Amino acid sequence: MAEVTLHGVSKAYGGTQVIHDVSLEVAQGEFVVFVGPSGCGKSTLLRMIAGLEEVTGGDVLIGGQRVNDTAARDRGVAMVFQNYALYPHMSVRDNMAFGLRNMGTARADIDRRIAKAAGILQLEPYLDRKPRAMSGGQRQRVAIGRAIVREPEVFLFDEPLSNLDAALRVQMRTEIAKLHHALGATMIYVTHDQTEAMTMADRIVVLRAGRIEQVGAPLELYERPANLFVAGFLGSPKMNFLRGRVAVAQGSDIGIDLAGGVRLPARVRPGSVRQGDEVTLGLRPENLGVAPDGELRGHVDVVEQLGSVQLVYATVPDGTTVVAELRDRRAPAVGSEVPLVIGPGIRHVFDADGAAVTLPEGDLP
Amino acid sequence: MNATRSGWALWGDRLLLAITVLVAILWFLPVLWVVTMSLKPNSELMRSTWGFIPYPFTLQNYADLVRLATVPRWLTNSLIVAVGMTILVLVVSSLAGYAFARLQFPFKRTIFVLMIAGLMIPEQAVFLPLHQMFADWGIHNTHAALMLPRVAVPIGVFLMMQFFRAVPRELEEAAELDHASRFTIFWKIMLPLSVPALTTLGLFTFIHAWNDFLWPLVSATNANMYTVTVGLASIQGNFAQTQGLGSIMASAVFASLPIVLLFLIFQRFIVAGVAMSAGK
Amino acid sequence: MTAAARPATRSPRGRSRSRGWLTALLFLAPFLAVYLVLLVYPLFLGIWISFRDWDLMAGDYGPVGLLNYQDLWTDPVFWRSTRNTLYFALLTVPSMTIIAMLLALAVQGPGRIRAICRSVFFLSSVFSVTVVTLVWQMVLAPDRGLIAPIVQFLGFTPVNYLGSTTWAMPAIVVTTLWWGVGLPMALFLAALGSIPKELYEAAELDHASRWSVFWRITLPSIRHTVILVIVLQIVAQFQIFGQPFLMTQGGPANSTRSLVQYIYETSFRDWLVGYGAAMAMVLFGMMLVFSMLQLWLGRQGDDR
Ligand SMILES: Nc1ncnc2c1ncn2[C@@H]1O[C@H](COP(=O)(O)OP(=O)(O)O)[C@@H](O)[C@H]1O
Ligand SMILES: [Mg+2]
Repeated sequence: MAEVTLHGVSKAYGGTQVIHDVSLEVAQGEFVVFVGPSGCGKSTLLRMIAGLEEVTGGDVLIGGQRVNDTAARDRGVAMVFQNYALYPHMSVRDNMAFGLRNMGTARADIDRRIAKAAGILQLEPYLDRKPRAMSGGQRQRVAIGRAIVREPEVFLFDEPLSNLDAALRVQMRTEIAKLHHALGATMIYVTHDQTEAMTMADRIVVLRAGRIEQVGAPLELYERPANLFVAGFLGSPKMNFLRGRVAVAQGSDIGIDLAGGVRLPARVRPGSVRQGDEVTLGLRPENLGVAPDGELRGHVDVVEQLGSVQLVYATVPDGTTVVAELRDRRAPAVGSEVPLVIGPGIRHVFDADGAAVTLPEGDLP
Repeated sequence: MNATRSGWALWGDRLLLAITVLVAILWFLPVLWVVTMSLKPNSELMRSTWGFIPYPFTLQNYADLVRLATVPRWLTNSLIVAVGMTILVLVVSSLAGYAFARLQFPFKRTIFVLMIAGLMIPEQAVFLPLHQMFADWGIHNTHAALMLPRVAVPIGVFLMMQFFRAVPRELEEAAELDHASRFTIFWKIMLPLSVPALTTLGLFTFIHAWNDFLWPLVSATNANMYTVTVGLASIQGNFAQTQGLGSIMASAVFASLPIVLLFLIFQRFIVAGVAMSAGK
Repeated sequence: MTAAARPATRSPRGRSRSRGWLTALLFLAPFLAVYLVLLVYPLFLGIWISFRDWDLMAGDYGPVGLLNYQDLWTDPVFWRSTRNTLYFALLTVPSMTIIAMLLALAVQGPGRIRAICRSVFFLSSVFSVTVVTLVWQMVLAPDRGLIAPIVQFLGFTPVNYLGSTTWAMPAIVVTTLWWGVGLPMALFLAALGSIPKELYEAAELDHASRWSVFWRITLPSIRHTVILVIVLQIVAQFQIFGQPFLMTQGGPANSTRSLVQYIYETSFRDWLVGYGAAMAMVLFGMMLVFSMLQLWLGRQGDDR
């Protein structure tokens, strides 16, 4: 087990910089998820930790040891790839044994470790199969097994579930989480899927264009996004954004004028915005409802019935589409005008630069 | 209207197929004829060579062939040369192909371009100086002399490089994390994966080696070192003597047997190989 | 801290990189060795020899400048051989390309019968030149061949094709076609196989005729292969040697003597290796032009 530390790590391919000065501490035994849109540099960052990609600036430390110049094989990390990267010509058993044999592990020890990993991953019946004779989920389990038997200090996952279908993805998600609890190893997991990040992570690292946008526990990021990007990236359906202008500002209490002559109160850090400033108001769909006394008028475009909830997509006076997540079953008719009511939850406020200025204690009850 | 059209099309297809089959039969007829002649007694062939049924039937021609032992000797030479050349080409090409596909080294581009330029050097441009060099080294009339000039085949390197490039990089990265050295990765991961490519390259090399004519003609001057291709050419001169016709046909059939068998077993690799080299 | 650490950290990376080069060198060494010793060096040795008076048995008599090349200019047999080689290529390349394409069109597609036909047409190309020429010498023989009875049946007098200045070359061409059609056919088959099925289905819906499907869809889709086959054939047929050497020995009256055969005879019968080498260089030059053409056309294809 070991902690992983990044000190001002950057990466350039030729002249183009794809990772900018990333610093991060991953504690021993922690499950950290790198999340961000595709192309933001998640894989590159992970591969630099693994040693598969050269670091062009800053330092990578594993277990307190600087490993910039250490070969991948000597870093004590194991990696699970998106396309599994199983050796197609070897049986499941040989796939798992390959690394141990290369390290000169004793035969009995190899067998013991494989048996243990196969037990954890329920792979016993398939040990003598070739990867091609297995389903995607089983293959990914073999890939994880190959990592487990090495008993590495750090597990690295690069979008391991992206090639699986939705149902299997949910199942594997919980299995990997269980595995983390069972092994207690440090794990760094890369995904572009915010649901995976929210459900699995101890801490989430949100990346955009090679920079860290925010680091924190899932709920922390969900409730206190540092900026518009994080606010929009985490949560499904996405947070609603409404453009407005600060009409009154007194201490932390402000009033925001929205299109259609609606003024909404909100709470911000004192002095962070002034009267007349352009701001963006962010409202989670679950914080939006339909009620007779609603301030905001919306034109219903689509209603999606999800069973437990229903999603109402409505156009508000300034032309933006907002989503409301309703728990009651009386759906408004498509095409009708409905009054939208804003619940007691957090009213996120972002200044003209997109940075959150919401009061930390906010409107929490 | 649509139905009649497809009806016509169907009959068109059948007609085309029938013509194709007819052409294929005509195409095959010379082979059949030669096999037939090889199974007839020479006395019968003196009278008439016509006919595609070996009657009267005899295996005498083949028996003579084996007894005389020159043709089997040539056949052995051909096998040694073809197998040796194939192995050498596979080793040399896969090693270099891997280096070009996945390793970093200085002047890689330059070396690659120089190698590709080698594709344009035909054997006729080098067979005279090679003959001179081998004479100086005193290695003519050996198996090595027959194999070596065909080992440096840029096309083999090129094919293997193309194949290795198509192997997902993650596979090698996984192996790297699995403590595999470069050579282990090559030997235990890349080579087993490239069996289809190796088979194809091996087949083409083998056929090429087996049918090579100009080089063995100038290098092997001792009749004991003839390959079967050159050996047959040396007895074709006596072909006017009709009494030997059956034997000559038998030696031609005998000499072609290994390569035809190889072709029949590995056909699909040949087709795949053509597709692979054309799809570059 | 960093100032002191930098030089120390740089060296291990540098070392690992040079170890990488060493590995690459080990992988490349066998190829580079045979390539340099058995291809590159002989090429330059050949150029060098072509400027010398070199006897196969007695060895080097010293430099003669351009004399070998000047002699070529006035050597009627050289010109005749060059003309024969060009004539042979001119007859063979277009017919080979067309026949290979027709056969590929005929045998492409599913079914056992077509698969067997494919094998038959390819099979003849695994035979060695010796066997092929033996077979065709028999087939073409005027007294006991396979062609003679047919010609007779049609009411003509059978000719000794290989002994006729008019017919010897076409006979060699036919032999070559029978022998060599397999590879270009396979190339066409590969190309035909990679044409998207949707194109044909769309044409079917448009009620296109077989003829227009061929001209509008098939041919444009495989045009790169057509060029590839033509260039490969030109390069291959320039090297013709075995067929005339074994079937006609270059006769009758030099009408089928090819350039390679003349190089061979000059060097190994007349022992004039220097003169032979000069001829080999001329042949190499001619083939180089066509190889360049192939590279250039290949690049055009990539740009598309
Ligand atoms: N080998 C490379 N050469 C040049 N650019 C690269 C290379 N690998 C990745 N990149 C670039 O780096 C950025 C980050 O890539 P990556 O880490 O794969 O993104 P992610 O995994 O987040 O989708 C992308 O813009 C990509 O184009
Ligand atoms: Mg990625």
